[in-house]
Amino acid sequence: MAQRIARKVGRRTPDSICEDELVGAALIGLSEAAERYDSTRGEPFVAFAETRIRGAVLDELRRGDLMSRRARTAARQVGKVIRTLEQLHGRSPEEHEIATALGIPLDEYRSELEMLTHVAIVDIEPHAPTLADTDRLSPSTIAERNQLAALLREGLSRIPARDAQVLNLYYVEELSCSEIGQVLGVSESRVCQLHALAIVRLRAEVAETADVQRDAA
Amino acid sequence: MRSNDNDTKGEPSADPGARADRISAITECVRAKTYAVDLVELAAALTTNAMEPPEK
Repeated sequence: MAQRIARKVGRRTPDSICEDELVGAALIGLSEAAERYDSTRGEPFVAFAETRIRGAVLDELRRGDLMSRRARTAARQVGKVIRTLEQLHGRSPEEHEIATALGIPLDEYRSELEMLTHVAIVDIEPHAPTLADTDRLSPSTIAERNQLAALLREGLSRIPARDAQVLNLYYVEELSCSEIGQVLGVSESRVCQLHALAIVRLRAEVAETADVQRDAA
Repeated sequence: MRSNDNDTKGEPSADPGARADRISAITECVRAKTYAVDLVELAAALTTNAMEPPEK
């Protein structure tokens, strides 16, 4: 099962990614699943293990920058479609509308979304100061941080309430995807998709606001 | 719904009972459509997340 999942995920990654490494990560995921499985919850082990294995393989991909680069490209593509549909319809597009515009079936679109779960909300340059450097932050960096917060506030006000709710449960309430699934009455995998969609929509809104501000300057 | 006044955020194993209670409370609010999102607080959390150093 671990090898099958690793190969399935590996098929959608660049050739430079070593399949053996993905299989290794999948086996670690399987081992962790065996340790953490709680039979009293009534969930079949195979379903539980599949989620863990898939997560371990995706984590392995994210550790290298190749996956994050691919995810950023895909997020930009989806974001562009969302912005186009928003301008066309004057509202946030539904998932099936986005999938149709991308020319792929809804299931495939949702599967792609899972790959974007941990894509960054905004693309921060690798050399940008981080919060760990707070003591050394310059006034201009603090101003940039405040500007980013303002952009995000503006973006959040324009995404659907359900998207903001999922983000709030994850980033403010600090619930896990499994716990959010419990709250919303959906599967953990569906939470991954909803989280990714919320992030992609927010990225699109932030990019649009930033474009407008640049044009006005 | 506000849940900042407890010590169970992001710590699944700190106090499983209290965390389960908090999740139940959030679930009730979400289902009753009374769960409020503070966009300023959420934007601040997202900003922090965006500027955090990447995990090793």
